[in-house]
Amino acid sequence: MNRVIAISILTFRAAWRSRAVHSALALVCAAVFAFALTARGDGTLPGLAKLIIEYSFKAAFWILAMFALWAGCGAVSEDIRRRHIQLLAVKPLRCSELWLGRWLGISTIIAIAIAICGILVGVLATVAGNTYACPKSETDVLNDHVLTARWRILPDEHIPHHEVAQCLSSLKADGTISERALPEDAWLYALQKVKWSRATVLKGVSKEWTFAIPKSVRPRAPNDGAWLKIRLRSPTRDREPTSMEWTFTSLNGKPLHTLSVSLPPDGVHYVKIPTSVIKGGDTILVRLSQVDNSQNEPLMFDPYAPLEILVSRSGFGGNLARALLIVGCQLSLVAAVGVTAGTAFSMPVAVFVTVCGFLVSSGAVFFTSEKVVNYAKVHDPEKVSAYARSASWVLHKLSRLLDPLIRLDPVQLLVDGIHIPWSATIVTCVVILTTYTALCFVAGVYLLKKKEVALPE
Amino acid sequence: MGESLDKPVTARGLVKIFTDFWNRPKVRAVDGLDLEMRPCEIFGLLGPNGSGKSTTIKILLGLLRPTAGEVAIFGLPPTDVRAKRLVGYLPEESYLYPYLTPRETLDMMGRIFNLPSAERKRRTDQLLEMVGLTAAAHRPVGEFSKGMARRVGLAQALINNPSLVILDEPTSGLDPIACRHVKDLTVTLAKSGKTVLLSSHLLADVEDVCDRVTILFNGRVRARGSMGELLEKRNIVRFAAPDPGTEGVAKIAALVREISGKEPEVDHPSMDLEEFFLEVISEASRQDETLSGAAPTCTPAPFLLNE
Repeated sequence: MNRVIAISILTFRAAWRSRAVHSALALVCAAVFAFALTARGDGTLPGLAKLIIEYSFKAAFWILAMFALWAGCGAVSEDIRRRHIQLLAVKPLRCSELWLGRWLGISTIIAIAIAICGILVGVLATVAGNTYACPKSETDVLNDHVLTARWRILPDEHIPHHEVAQCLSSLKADGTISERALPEDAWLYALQKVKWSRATVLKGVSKEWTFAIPKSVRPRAPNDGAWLKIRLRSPTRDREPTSMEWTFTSLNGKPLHTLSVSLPPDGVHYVKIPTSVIKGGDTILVRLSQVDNSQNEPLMFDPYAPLEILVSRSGFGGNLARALLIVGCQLSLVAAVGVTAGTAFSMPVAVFVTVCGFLVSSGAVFFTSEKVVNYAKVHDPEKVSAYARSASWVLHKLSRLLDPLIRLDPVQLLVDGIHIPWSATIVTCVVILTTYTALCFVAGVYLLKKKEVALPE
Repeated sequence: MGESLDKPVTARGLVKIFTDFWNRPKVRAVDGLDLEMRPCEIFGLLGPNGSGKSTTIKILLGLLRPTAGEVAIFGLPPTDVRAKRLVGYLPEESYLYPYLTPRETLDMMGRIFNLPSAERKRRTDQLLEMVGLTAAAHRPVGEFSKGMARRVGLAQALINNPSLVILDEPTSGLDPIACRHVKDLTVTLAKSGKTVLLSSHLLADVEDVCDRVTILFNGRVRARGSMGELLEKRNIVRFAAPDPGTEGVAKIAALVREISGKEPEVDHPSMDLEEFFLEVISEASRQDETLSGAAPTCTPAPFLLNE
């Protein structure tokens, strides 16, 4: 361990005394301030705070990701190029210790940078909330929906297999889906159709969602906030508000609460509900009845997240800390990828290869999303080339490989004021460190062992 | 395979062929080299540029893998961590981290050898004193002259009190005083039980300190043996005596001529330039005690002498 610490200290000192690191840190702080000072939101205080948090965080993340990549790629490759490695490799230092030391040193710098950035973002968002004169209603929204951490309960949206299968066969029967379409593409298309049809509530029709409240959800006080978050979509703009009646009942039919609201059939809406409705371990049914029959068009919910129940839990600070921890781990993984690439290639090549890798991975995540369906593959599969099929196969595999890494988006959760549980934080960090980083470690150590570090140029 | 302290370095049939990107042979840097070093000796590796000295050293240190042949350091593969614990290496160039100070460099190297904090500090102080850099201990190495950086390189090579010290061009970039000190130190190290492998272009350095030498050319051994065996001119005898005066010299010359039948060469032995230079600087340093660079000192660090 002493040897790992020695290399970590060496890496930390190298970074701390380098102008590039000072520049990166200055750039991160400048980006955070720049977004805070120039952000133009939707004209509301909560909107401004959301923008400050989201854009400042994302700007800082990308700057630090580039730094992590650059520092990681150079950690070993520059040692080899400048031949410092000849001093280290003749000492009783294992390849694993060199890799770990380098990675830990860079991760420490990243941890400091992300902590500074987090503190700045937190302070700026809070200051913004207290600086501007605005109506109390906006301040309340800011405190209730942005600078907070709330439990999020999603409805049980399980779609039975037979429902998709039935949809699929009818789509094939009417020729919408080609018989020769790849099964997974055809299934994805049918699944989307089912989701959209479930999200559409026709005029005068009622719809019910089931919410299983986790045992851990315990509202702190009766006056605490609880909200029903409704996401509506409309193909046409500026529709008149629709009157709705929402009924909350227990599983055995006992009425818990009823509320009537009139909402525009588009956008995201929060409807306050009493916390007495929410009891950890219970299952509640939420039923929508359309009271207003004057509207001709159906009501359309977001097929992927139609409803959420949000319950006030704790403050913003703890949530910010957990988000920072996850972001820190993600950045340290970027550094790990860089360190490993730097053991195989020279620094410019390593940077090029890793940037390409990240671009392909981002593409894989986007193009294999269930929200994106390849039209040609479903309707006219003969037109899809073998190359496109192979690329699609690779992207699907890559996306599956990356899924645990991107399942939790800490910045989005923070912006939405959603509580990031410690359990999810720890699981995400452990998965990042023990799976992805460990893979990089094994590959890096293997490459380093195979490498002759003193070859003439 | 266990440690064998009586065989510091053993190499058999060592071959190193450098290849290009497509793995096609490019250069045969070392060609069938056999090497065996004895404990406590100073072994010189000589040869012109490109003769394979540095490649041989890098193979011995595990920095390069031999294409063929076997190599062992104290009976262990050179990549074995146990073998590395016993070796100190001063590379051709110092390759130090420019942003670290000498103290930080030595502390880091001490940490890598798992030395306890107090011991690291003790050794660091002694080594800095030995190489004359105590006053510059807190300046980054990047600001140092080549000679000063070389001294830090030498200090880091000795932090672990190694049993085998490999010095690649140790006097390169050093002033004559420091060269003398390095040579004295090399002899002291050998006397205190360490084996020294010294590679140099400077034949005088090797001649001054080495017990045995191997001369390489084009990757192959061209000559090897002790200094006495290789350099002694058995057909010539030299006498040294107080000046007997012109008449005395003439009488001795006549006698030699009569016995050998050849004309003897007679001259006064001269002091070599190194000796003269050291005398001048020694006198100057006695008069001027303020120094901005490295101090001229040659006392070996006590821990190297097991004190």
